[in-house]
Amino acid sequence: MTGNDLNDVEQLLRRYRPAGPPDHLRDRVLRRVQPRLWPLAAAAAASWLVAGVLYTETANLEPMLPERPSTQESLAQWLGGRPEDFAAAEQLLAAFDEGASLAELRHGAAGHVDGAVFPEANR
Amino acid sequence: MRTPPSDDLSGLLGRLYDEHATGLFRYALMVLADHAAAEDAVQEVFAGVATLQQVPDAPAAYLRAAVRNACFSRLRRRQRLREEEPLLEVVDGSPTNIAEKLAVEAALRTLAPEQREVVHLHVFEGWTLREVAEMTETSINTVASRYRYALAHLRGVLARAGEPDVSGASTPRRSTS
Repeated sequence: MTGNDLNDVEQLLRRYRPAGPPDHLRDRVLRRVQPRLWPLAAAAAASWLVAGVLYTETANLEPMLPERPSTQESLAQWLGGRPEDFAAAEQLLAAFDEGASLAELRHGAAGHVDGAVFPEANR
Repeated sequence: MRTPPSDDLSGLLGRLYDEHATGLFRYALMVLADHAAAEDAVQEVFAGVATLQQVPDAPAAYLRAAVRNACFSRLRRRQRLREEEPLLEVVDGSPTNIAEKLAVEAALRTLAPEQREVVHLHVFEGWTLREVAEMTETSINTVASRYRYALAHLRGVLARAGEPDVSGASTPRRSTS
């Protein structure tokens, strides 16, 4: 088959061109792309906003510790007085003391801070 | 490659779409012979562009290569063609013959995707066969034979379908590419 034999096919093809994209494809492409961009930007903006708000709201706060129960027994009685309440009271007091120690380290001083009573001051 | 301002990315994508999407879609449609798959391929490519850190220096070539990869990747997964959708539109000024158009579309669908690709790039986009070879990273001999066999095959199919413009067709040789 010669090149001339194929010219008629080529001429026939040249009366046509492939169909173009449908009108909705642009919106579909860009809408699909946008969500990939905006969540990142939105998440970054939201994180920045939350961090800013939290910083502002907590900057002037002092640690507020509840008053420490004076003894394990009084706390256990308050919890119900059962054997398991004594164990729970022991754990609660240990946790309280640990938290108070952290607060003490943070502020560099023992004693009362805005009504909070530190363990050493009340034992 | 150059880095786009991040706030301009959306606008950049819109401009890239407006400049290149029609040609890319036509290319994808001719390779895949499937509207929905062509849309998906184009969308996939633009979604990929959105994740790039830098804009390609030659976006047209980059996008064409990306669409080609997306199309042939899809072809490897695809089971069969959808045949109810139009592949072609009449070029302005050409006489409209619905039967002929349907016959040409049906004939194109019988080609291998690689053959449709060469026909598209050479006939519809006007690239030389050498340029097509460079674009597709294929030897010029392979591209030329794909094109020759594609047209011969089309000629045979159209002649059997009774299209008068190719009715004098001789029996086409079997495609070897």
